Amino acid sequence: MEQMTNEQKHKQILKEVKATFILIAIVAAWHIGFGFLLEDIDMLVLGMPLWFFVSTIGAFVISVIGVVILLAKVFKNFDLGDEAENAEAAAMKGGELND
Amino acid sequence: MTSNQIIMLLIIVAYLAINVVVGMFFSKKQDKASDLSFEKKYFIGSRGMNGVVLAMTTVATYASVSSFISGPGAAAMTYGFSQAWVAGVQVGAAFLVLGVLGKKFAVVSRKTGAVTVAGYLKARYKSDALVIITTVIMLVFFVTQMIAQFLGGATLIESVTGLPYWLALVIFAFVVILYTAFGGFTAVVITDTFQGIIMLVGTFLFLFFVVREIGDFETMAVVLDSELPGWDTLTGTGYTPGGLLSFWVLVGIGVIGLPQTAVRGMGFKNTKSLHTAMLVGTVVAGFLMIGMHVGGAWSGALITGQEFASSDYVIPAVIQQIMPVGVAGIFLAAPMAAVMSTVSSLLILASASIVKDLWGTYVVKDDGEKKARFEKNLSKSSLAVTMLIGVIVFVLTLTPPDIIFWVNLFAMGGLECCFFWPLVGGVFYKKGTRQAAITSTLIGVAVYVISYQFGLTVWGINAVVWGLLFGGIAYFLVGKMTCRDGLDQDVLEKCF
Repeated sequence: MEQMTNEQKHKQILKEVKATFILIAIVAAWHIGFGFLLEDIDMLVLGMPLWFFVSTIGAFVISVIGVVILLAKVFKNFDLGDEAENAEAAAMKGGELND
Repeated sequence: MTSNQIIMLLIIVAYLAINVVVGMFFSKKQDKASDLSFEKKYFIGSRGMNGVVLAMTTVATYASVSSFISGPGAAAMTYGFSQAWVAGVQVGAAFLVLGVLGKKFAVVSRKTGAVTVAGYLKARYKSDALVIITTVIMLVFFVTQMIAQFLGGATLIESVTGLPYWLALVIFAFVVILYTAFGGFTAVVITDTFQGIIMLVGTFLFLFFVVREIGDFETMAVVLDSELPGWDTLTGTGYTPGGLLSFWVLVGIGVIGLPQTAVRGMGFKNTKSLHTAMLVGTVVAGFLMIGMHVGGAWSGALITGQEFASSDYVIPAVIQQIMPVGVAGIFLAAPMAAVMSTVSSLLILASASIVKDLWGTYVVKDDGEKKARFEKNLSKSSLAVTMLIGVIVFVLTLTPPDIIFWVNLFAMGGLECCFFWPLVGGVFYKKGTRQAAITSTLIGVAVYVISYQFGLTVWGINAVVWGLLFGGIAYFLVGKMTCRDGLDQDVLEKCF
């Protein structure tokens, strides 16, 4: 886990958000593109029309691979900042003990 | 009642009972171990979700009766594989919502103590007007969505057990309201996890038995060619290119704007859980959505010569045809799970919004005496509000609307037009002022509802596209105009 300042965390978050949007754009382009491009080909693959197989099953595969890549290359672990709420919890517990 | 119907009823009742027990038991256990305040436990589960739970609750909340009954039924009877293509659009829902909003929500909500989406909006925009407007709009569309779900669940029970609609509705509503009201957010996400597993099992069973019954795909193709010509095309059964692309906006990207999925970004334990959830959620969502709809499209070959009041009745009929009664009962737990997980999530967030955001912020305010009373009665009021909303929805569902799929979509579109830009713009755009957010919400929802009401569809493009388009323009334009000295220092510190 990386130690980051607040500013660094938000910078990292922005990086991840952009990467996520890029992935969904790729998935969308694939799904839409192959859906329309292959529509007129009359062929069944495992009981599914070819255009469907490539566009939709393909989009699923790309999504999974894409997420794996995002997690490996872009997303980072960092502390979410539980200090404030941990303090609150400790205070509440302390309050109970004092009763 | 036939003996088959009795068996189905028993399985359903057993399943509902398990949910109540699981929900209440594990939530009590987890809440006892947490030292946080009541509201943090009841409304956001002490921010304790791990990766698998986060994945399951995100997918389960999002998947609804449309995913199991309505959509696949439409694939079987009306739209063939183009419906399955539409379902495939949702494959990115899990990683998109979590990847775009997850960490931002997690960090900001911990800093500000927010437990609802409105709580985040309050911290980000510092506008009471925005909180009230978005919360009211949210409640209206939530009620609409809950009605659609209750309708789906009750119709399902009615069609397989022979129970009268109103009685099925009572049983169903009673169980969901019970564990949600008494168990809070923790019960909701734990039952969601259980329900997610059931949905996976149900999808597998459905595919297995449909394929078994179909035999070979060549014969199936011949039957479908005469039953539903165009079943194997993308635009041959009624969907226009514009309409199909609109689905990418509505259920592909716009899904980020749904508060009930977004709020899960406030409830997970650490970044590791988020990452796990992104992967697990994508796999689960894809398998469920695509699996059920492909099975649905195939099952169109099994309903030759049968008449249905609407495509919502197809799947219940098919499964009774192809599965032994015990298995059919287990499969039916899946759409019921989808309904329950959606309703419970809507219900708890609605309750949180009313109690925390509306009542707590605007009625109680900072009045010392009022505040003390409010805190003291918080658990009772939260319980009461949750039950009250549930009962109101139940009453409204007694006289049901038309086909579930479209009512549900209407509500979804409305929520997205309301929240999308304030949330997404809020993450990115440093000139996103409160005026930008308010204008965006009002214009977005207005354009949406008007286009919907007057059927203003150009090239088959769904109303949500217009709502998001104009909402987006409003957000960025107004933001640019009203952001003269930059955002409040406090906001910049907490949210950026």
